[in-house]
Amino acid sequence: MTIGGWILLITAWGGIIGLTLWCIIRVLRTPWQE
Amino acid sequence: MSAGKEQWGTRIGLILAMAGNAVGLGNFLRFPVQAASNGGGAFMIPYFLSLILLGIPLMWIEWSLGRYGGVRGSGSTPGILDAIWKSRVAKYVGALGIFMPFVVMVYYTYVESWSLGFSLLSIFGAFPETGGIEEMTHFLRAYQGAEMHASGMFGNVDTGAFIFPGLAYGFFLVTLGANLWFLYRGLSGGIEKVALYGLPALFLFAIVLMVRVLTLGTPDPAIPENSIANGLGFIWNPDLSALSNPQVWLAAAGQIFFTLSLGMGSIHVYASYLSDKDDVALSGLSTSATNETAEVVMGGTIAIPAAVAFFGVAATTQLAAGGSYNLGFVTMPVIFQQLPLGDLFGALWFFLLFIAGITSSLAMGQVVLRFLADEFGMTRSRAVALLGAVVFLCTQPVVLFIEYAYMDELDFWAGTFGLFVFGAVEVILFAWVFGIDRGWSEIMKGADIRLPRIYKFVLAWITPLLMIVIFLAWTWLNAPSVLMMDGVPAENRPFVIGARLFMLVSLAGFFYLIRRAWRDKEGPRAQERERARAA
Repeated sequence: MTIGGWILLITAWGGIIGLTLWCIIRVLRTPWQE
Repeated sequence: MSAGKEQWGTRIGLILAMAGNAVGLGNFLRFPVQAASNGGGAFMIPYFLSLILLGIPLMWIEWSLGRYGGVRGSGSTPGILDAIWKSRVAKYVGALGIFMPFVVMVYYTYVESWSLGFSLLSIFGAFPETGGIEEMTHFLRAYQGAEMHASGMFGNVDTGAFIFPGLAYGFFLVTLGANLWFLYRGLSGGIEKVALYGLPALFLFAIVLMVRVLTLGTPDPAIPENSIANGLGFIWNPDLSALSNPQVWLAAAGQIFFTLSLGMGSIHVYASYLSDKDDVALSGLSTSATNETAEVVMGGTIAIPAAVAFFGVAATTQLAAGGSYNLGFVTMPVIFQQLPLGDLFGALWFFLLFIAGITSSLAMGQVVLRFLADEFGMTRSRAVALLGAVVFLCTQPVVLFIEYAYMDELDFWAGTFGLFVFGAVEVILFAWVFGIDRGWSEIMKGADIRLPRIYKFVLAWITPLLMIVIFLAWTWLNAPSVLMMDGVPAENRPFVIGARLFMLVSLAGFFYLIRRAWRDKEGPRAQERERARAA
């Protein structure tokens, strides 16, 4: 795997996992219908 | 209780159910094939641009349309489109949003049952032990009833006209029964429960498989280029010259559209159980992000990198060209056969696909149930019984004519082309007919996050124009050859035409039901009822 591949992989994974965790935390902090 | 008067038990349950709807076989099979064959890492640039400009905005549109319709008593798309577009044809255009989930459910439940079947076959070590790709291909074809198997383990019966697939049929009945049972249990008691347990299990299985694949190293030290690092490189190394190829951009936008289950009608139905003040902005974003984790992080790390590590780049390219099902049901079992505890990893892989499948097929079934409840006041148990009987009957040709491309034809028109049509129509209606000012207020109503104002412009212009361009380009490139049956062998043609007739009859059936429902709602009898109630 080239340096460019690693940079893309880490950026994409970091971005997606970060966004997902941020969303889950926000959702758990603002529940409704519970 | 009717399917129209329920509600979600918890917010996280709804988001997991929405994510389960979006996460399907495509996340683990279609995405890595698309990425690898469209410029590798360079594919990610148009892919993420499409996510930001097309996928997430469309997700917000579908969530808010669903809530808008649900608050007004219509959770399925005929009623929703009728509410936002004052035209006599609106409800008939909305028919697409029930027709597609119904037709897709007819074949998807069968494919889903293969995952369940292969999961158990893997646990019991039933795959061919000396298994190469060719042998596993025979195994799959025998399981599907496309050919007889010398072992007789599939319970196949050769009728002369077709081979009846005994074992596959048994798993199909179990899978359809499970779907109907969870649908019968209702929104919070069935669908939400499956999502609450199923999605975490799916992520757990995917992480176990990811760790297994990432620690493969170089399985055969004699061939050092067949390594997991090169497998990841096959997907992620950027070939920037691919960015000048419009096909790559189209493939990326198409993948975003399919993976998020947009243009299907099922997101609307799930969102229709929200109240007017419930958030859709954060929930829609959460659904998209969860799906992307399953796709980019997990889907991109399992099948293709493992295939490269065992077979090399050239062979993987060929295997990927054989299609997603071949990659999932032929290549993966062969790889697992060569690992210690391979039967267990194989079972995890197929059960993961089964969870991804059932959480999507439940959403398709719920679309039809909600339509029957809203427009005909049908109780859940009656609607489930009707849906079960119709899906069971309509799946018979899918099972029996699997080798004659009957299912592929349904998949192309209802599971692919139809999504582009409906996606383009709904975004135009939302932005330009319903109006972007009203639309933006709808999305922001009760929002738990503040969306950047630039997204109002994106929703008004970028997303609709992008959707139109993609629809036209995709149709131009793909539809004519399929319509004219180019390359379809002569023996398959009657079955392809049969599949088209089935779809036309189904669509006409939904038109008829909509006409009847609206005649009852708006006709003289309804007006009499209104007058009597007022008096």
